[in-house]
Amino acid sequence: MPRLSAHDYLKKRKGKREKFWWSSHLSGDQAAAPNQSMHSNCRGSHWPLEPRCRPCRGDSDGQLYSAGIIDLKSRNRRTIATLLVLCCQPTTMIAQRAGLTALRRVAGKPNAFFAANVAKLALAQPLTTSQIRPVATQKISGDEARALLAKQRLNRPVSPHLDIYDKQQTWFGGSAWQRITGSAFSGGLYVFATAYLAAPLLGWHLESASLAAAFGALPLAAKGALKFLVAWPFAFHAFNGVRHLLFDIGVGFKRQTIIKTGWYLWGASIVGGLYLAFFL
Amino acid sequence: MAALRSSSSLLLGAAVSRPALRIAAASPVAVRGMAQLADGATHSSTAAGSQTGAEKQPNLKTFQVYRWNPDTTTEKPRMQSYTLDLNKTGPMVLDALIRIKNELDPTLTFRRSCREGICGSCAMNINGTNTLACLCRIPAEDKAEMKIYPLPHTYVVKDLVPDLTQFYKQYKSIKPYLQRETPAPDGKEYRQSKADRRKLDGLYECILCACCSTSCPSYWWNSEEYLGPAILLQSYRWLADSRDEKTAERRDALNNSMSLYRCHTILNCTRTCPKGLNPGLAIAQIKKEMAF
Repeated sequence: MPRLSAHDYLKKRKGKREKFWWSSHLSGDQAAAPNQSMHSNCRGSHWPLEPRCRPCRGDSDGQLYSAGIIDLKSRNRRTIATLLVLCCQPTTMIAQRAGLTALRRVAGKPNAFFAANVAKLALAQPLTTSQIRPVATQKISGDEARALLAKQRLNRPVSPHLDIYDKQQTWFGGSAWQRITGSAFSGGLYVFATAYLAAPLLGWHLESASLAAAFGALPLAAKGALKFLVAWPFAFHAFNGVRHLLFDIGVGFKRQTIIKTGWYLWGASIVGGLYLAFFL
Repeated sequence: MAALRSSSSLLLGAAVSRPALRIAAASPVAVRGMAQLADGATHSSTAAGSQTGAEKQPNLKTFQVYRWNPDTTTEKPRMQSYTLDLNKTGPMVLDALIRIKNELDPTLTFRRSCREGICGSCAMNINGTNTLACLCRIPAEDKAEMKIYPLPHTYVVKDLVPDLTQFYKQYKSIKPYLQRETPAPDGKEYRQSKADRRKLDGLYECILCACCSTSCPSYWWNSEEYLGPAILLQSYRWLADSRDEKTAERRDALNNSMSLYRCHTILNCTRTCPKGLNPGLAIAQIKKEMAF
């Protein structure tokens, strides 16, 4: 039996069909891609695992094919809504190419199986093309695309964020606590100042002398706890303030530095807060 | 590891070892598939039980994966567990995901392409941190379950596939290309000194995987207007380019309360970047340039 090189094989095929489906696909000629279905009973529209579809499971010899990766991450900005047609026959471009690459490799060296079947390979080409079901695309305008996206987003869930992200980076983030402590202090100042202004009218006693007397009457532990409640946010805000000033001049951005200073910050602020609460 | 075998060996191996395979019945390339089921495979939720005669003790690891199907919108997103034998799985999380898709559940949907951290497709949240699945090792000694979510606070298209439309739109908005009025002095190319070129190191390597942007709480709450670390890193890449002549315009575009200054130096971006870049530093440089 005459050996047929892969190149001749491709040429022969090309003579019968004007174009390979992928060449027509790549040249943008969507209509030229054959789009007929082998699946008389299922139209290939179901998921590949549907057990009732015999043609899908039959000749592929126990192999499953799926084109389930939905890739909307196209970097070109064309507004094409891509509908991936899922098919259980080996129709993906990759599969075709990989197969042909392998065929070429086989053609280079003697291989009993290939030599014996080369004629069949050449003759069987209508079957090859009839199995192809390329990706169907539809061009829509920008407004339509936006409307479609908005409609889809109504259904789409927002992926989880605060609940699942690394706790050290979210719940113990220095930046967030800088804001919380800062807000607490400025809010506290506003509340106290307003109350101090309104105190004579309402008959409250917020003068320093009466506050000091009330505080002095508390037990030591309560004194310390109350002071810590103010001292820790103060220490945290002060230390982290310095850290953020350093960030502003572009210092301390190495990954390990960020992680380390983040932990040091908590340690230093707690120690500093305790010191201010109990020893000052 | 059948799924990890190369395509040609799969083709040849299958063709030679299975004389029953008739070329006339299937197409010549029908032998090759993206996925292959183990012999007599059943769609159970574990791939480890089928090979009992293995010489090694199975090293089981459970992966909890976020699932949501757009076809059944009434159902809430849920976590699905898959157990794999790590002795038969590649070292990276992407290998595990591909194996799950090939052998356990073909409906699992995720993006992947290059499997070597250069395309940025497989960005997802793994054990609480955004990273590329292909660059993230499965901690073998750690028996704890791995949790895999899509990128945080994104619209989910399906399972682990986030909708990054807004992200790309924002990238387009910063005009990520060289803007110049004056022609090149030699009429050929725009040259720059080695020192100027060095300024772009650490910036041009960004693959726009969106790990950093979706790790940023500020971006979670303000993604409509705040550009986010990835896009700001790219902004700085063009601000720092000595050949670009629209630096002032680029700065003007950022000079508002939202685009740039929603960055509060949280620095999750720098901590999460799977390429080891430093978006936080780039943003700090922009802020510094804008201030002085």
